[in-house]
Amino acid sequence: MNKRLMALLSVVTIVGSACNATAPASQAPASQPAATTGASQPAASAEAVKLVVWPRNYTLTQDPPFQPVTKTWEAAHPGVTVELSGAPYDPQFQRIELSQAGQISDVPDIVQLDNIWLGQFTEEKILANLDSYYASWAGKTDILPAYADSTKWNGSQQAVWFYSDIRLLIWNKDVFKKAGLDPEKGPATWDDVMADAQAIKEKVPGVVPVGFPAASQEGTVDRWYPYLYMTGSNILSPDNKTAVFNDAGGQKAVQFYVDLVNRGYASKDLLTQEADAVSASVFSGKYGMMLATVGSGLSDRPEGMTAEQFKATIGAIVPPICAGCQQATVAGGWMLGITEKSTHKDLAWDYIMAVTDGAQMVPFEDQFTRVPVRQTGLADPSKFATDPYFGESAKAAAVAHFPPFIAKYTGMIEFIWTGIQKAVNGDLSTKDALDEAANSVNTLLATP
Amino acid sequence: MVRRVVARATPWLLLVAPLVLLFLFLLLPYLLTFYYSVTGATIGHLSNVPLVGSANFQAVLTSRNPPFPGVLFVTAAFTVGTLVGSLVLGTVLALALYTVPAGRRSALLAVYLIPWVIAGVVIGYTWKLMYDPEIGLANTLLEAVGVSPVSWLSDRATSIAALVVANVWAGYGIVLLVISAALANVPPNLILAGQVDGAPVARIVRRIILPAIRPAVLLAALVALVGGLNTFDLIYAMTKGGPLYQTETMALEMYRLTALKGSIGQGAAVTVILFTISLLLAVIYVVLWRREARKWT
Repeated sequence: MNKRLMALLSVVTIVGSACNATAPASQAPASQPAATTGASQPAASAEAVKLVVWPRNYTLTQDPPFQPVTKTWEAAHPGVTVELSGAPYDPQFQRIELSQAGQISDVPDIVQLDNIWLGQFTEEKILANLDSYYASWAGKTDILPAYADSTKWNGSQQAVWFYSDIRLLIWNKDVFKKAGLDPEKGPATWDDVMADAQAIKEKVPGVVPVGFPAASQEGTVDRWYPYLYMTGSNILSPDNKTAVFNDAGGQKAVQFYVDLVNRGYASKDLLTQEADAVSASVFSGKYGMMLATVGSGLSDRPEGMTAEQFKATIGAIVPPICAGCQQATVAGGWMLGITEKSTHKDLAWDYIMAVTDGAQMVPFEDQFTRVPVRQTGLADPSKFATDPYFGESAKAAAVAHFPPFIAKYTGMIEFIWTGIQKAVNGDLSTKDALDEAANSVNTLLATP
Repeated sequence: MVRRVVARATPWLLLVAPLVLLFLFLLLPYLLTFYYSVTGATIGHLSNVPLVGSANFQAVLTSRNPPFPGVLFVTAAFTVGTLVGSLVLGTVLALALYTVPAGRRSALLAVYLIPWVIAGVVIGYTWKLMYDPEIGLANTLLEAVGVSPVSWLSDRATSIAALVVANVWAGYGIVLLVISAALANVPPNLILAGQVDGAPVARIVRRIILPAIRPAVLLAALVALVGGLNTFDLIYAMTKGGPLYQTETMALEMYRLTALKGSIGQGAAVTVILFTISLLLAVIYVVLWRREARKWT
């Protein structure tokens, strides 16, 4: 009997452990950060109203952008309270999806969304159409045209820009000094990158001249897109139905990475490195330079590093361009949207207007080197004294591109980064790697 | 009469709460996993989902990114590596500790068990630093003996081995614990008899100690096997299954499909496949266990 019992327990142990280890994804959402909803009560009601806002977690640990304005706004709206519930990146996406699916009972009125989620959230009817609000919003003309267009889906406004980040090339000034290069002058062209990398390789042993993220993550494609766009290429065709990143421009952009590796200026170890890790390595002097996100440039500086020390350590410039190419970069960032399920849409819009107001956002943008999405912000560099490279960010904002806002974007980028990885690793030629990736993307786009 | 009914019902009443919990948190997720594996469920669409038959299994098995045989190979290599490594290291350490006086043995055992109680993520990040191509301890040691640096986690030839080493370090503790407990029950007379007969240490270990602790070795092997098969946190912290899926195990594949791609159906299909493999291993284990049990009787 005991033996049988032990055998039975063993079976349960093996099978149960296997399932427990792999099954929780379908259960995990239940443990996402929770927020109680008050969205079921109409705004006009005399009863207390709770506006549920789901921002990113880090925005709640600092005063701007939410804390001071929320108190002021609540004071101006008696009977209305704002409940702020933060979450990290992936859980933020998951909880919004799960709320829409009804798998968690919490229903937010306002969500903070990465700009790459806009298409998916709109197609899934998570986000409410904001055209009627935009129609009477005087401040809309202040939003930079490229940014204003990027909150649209099928011609309709679906969100309001919150804050942005932009890709610039950053370099370590100490490494440049040791290599005999001008520490105040970054490479303006791809040829300059190669020349500077050669100097670093020759004169600064132990330092990898160039870094770029090449791990299996969104940052890999995000940092590659500027090189793609500057060749005149694009990710998808204008109707967003076919991949075009495998054209001559796309191949040129990937070949740039391959050449860096083949010449010994970059290491295949980058295949395991995410953008933040590469950025940290430029700060520490392990890498000489990289295309980084400004917004995670100064704000991600090591603990205790002042803005002055940052300026003394790191240089930043608009992305270097190839011969015959046009200046281009990629912007990303965060928007605020009102959920279709919200029963307090007017209040939600009012709150969004208060939070995203240009004057209210400036201290946040200055402190965390975010790029203003408003023309009045960009026009007044004196308010952004903390960011020594505000001028470069402003230049970059004028040539910023955004990835396509389609529901399948988050699914298709895995094929693109895999293509880049295969080319960098030498598994396939640049053309074959991108063609394979494009075929996979086209198959995905064609799937209903 | 009432007293008899209460007496009969009491065990069942006591069992109700755990049985309900067991159903809710163990059986129901299993059943849901099986159900989702034949549906088109996604993270944003979990109710009223269409039945898609074996489409999820076909998609997983014919996937090119990554090819499923590759995932299976990585899972097998990682699990076998972990099993063998943990078993050997844990057993050797237990035998070594067995030669130490009892007082010191307990203290040393506690020290050797430290890696086992550290969270997998912490161990993962620690080993990731050790394998860092520029500043890592592994390459520093290689350079000290004149060997060129190795790209431990990005090179296809070394990445799985590097993960296995880290996982063995993380998991040998449980083997050590089980074997140490079994060694404490080996009759000293048998060992003494061997020593009196002049048998060398290796022969005493091979002929007396190891046969005496075979059931414990079998149990430790089971635990190490399950540990290897289910490892997620350590691999995720070190490589996230990359680069180019070359360290993608089935546990990571399930996570990638479910949590990152949002395809609950395909993630569940991977889970069902893993479940089936686990079941086969369980059957093999039971056969071995019964064979062993017959020897005891």
